[in-house]
Amino acid sequence: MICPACKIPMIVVERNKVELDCCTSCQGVWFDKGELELLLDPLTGSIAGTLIENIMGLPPAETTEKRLACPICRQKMKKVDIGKTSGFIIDVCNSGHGFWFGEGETSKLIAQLLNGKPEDKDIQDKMLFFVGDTLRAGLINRESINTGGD
Amino acid sequence: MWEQIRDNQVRTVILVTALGFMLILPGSLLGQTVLGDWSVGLLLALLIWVVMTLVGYFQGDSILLSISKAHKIGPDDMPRIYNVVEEMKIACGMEKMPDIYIIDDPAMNAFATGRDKNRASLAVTSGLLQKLNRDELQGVVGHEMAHIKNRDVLLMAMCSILLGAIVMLAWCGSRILFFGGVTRRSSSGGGNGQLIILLPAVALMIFAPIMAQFIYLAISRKREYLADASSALYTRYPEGLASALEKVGASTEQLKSANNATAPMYILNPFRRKNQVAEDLTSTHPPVSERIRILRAMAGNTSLSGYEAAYKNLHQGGGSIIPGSALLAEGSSPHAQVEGQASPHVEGVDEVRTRARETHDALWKLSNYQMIACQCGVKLKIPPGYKGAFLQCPHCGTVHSVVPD
Repeated sequence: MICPACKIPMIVVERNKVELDCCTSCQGVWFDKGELELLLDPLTGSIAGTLIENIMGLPPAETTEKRLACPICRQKMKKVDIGKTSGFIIDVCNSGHGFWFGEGETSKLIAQLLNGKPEDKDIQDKMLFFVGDTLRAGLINRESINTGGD
Repeated sequence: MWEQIRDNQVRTVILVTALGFMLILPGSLLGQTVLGDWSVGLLLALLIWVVMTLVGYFQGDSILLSISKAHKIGPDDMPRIYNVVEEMKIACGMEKMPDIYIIDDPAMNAFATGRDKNRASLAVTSGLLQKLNRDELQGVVGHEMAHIKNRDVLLMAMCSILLGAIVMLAWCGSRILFFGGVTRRSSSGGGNGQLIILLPAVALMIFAPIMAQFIYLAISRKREYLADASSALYTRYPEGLASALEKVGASTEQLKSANNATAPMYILNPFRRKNQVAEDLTSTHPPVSERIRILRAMAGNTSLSGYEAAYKNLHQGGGSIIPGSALLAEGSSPHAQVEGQASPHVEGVDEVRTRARETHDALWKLSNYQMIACQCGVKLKIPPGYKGAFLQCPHCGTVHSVVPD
């Protein structure tokens, strides 16, 4: 899959048998509809479908950020604010192919997690928690470092 | 099955001839209108017809597979589908294993193509592999193998190629007529006569694709029933195909690489209105709800006659759908009666996820992705164009080295 922002191939990160497409250049994350179904309800996919439809139905967010194209259908995605209190803007494909979390949003999720306040109340939180938890060490393109971990 | 095979051969010849006329008539009329000489148009149409037929016969399957963006796979790439195809190959008594192709698309569908049973291919989408369990997959593969064995594949491939070409030519023809034809009209000096020829030419060009579509419809519906019946016979488990059709029919995913000409090839019509389930009316296939009803009414008798009986039961007074010779040849097969149907297997969440990963991992490997399993349980899949020698696991922070291409 090609990163909607940088137009380079993204790496795939699989955790608990669910895949995320991650860009090591801009730190953005694509959550595909099929993967969201696998995370939330693999047997029917209806919970994931409802979540996507609800988010698609939100009014477009007022932002100056550039609109990006869906990596599946190449149509311009919609920017929506899904934050419950503060602004948390993600891109959603108008055909429901998935969600795009920009760099700012992924770091917010990771920070929230490291502060010890993982919210896991509803299905939307469950999705956000999964993204944050999977990327808790951050997406860093290590070009010159020794192997073996820290 | 000889009756069915013979029937398919006759139909193929009829189809090629009928489509030939559909080309020649507008071709000559177009020649008369645009160039003022009908013989040029006729010759050109004849030439196109011969070339199309030859291409359809010799290259039809490869063209269809490549426009459907199908990738060929081997036994090790995806053992699950390979094993199922091998089982069905044995069940239906075919000698040669068909080539297996995968279409990378979340929509669920499958088709078979080829010239005869020695040169046949079977294509399935990744969505189908991911979402169907083994019984269901067997049902679908059994259906496609029946198409190969009954020689439906050549007829269907020829149909797709010829129909596709006619639609394309009609499109070109109408453009030539409306944009090119006008400027030359004065030189040929036809006046009123011109208009008389022009009108039927336009009418033909509009109707040819529609007529071709009708031929296609007529030939594809009935053989779907026979393929369903054969699938039940090969698998001895009609519920597998019934449940697969139910899943495929309920899905709202659109197959991206399908078009009007290739639609009838698939096990279920790939076209949906946006976010709608497969429609029963105006479809190139029999209504899916009816196909499921018949399969479920077979009640343990998985022979062709069992299917026929179930069909007749649901259609009081309706005709027969399985050719007489097929029923005769079958006789009273000792294995056809299945004692008590196994209850459908209820699958768990983990099973569905594991199948999804198997399917996707095979596709990643086909695209030359590098797989790294991190000690924390995370798997990293790195695209061939990745820049950099190292990658940090985003979950636990372990740094892995990446082998350059």
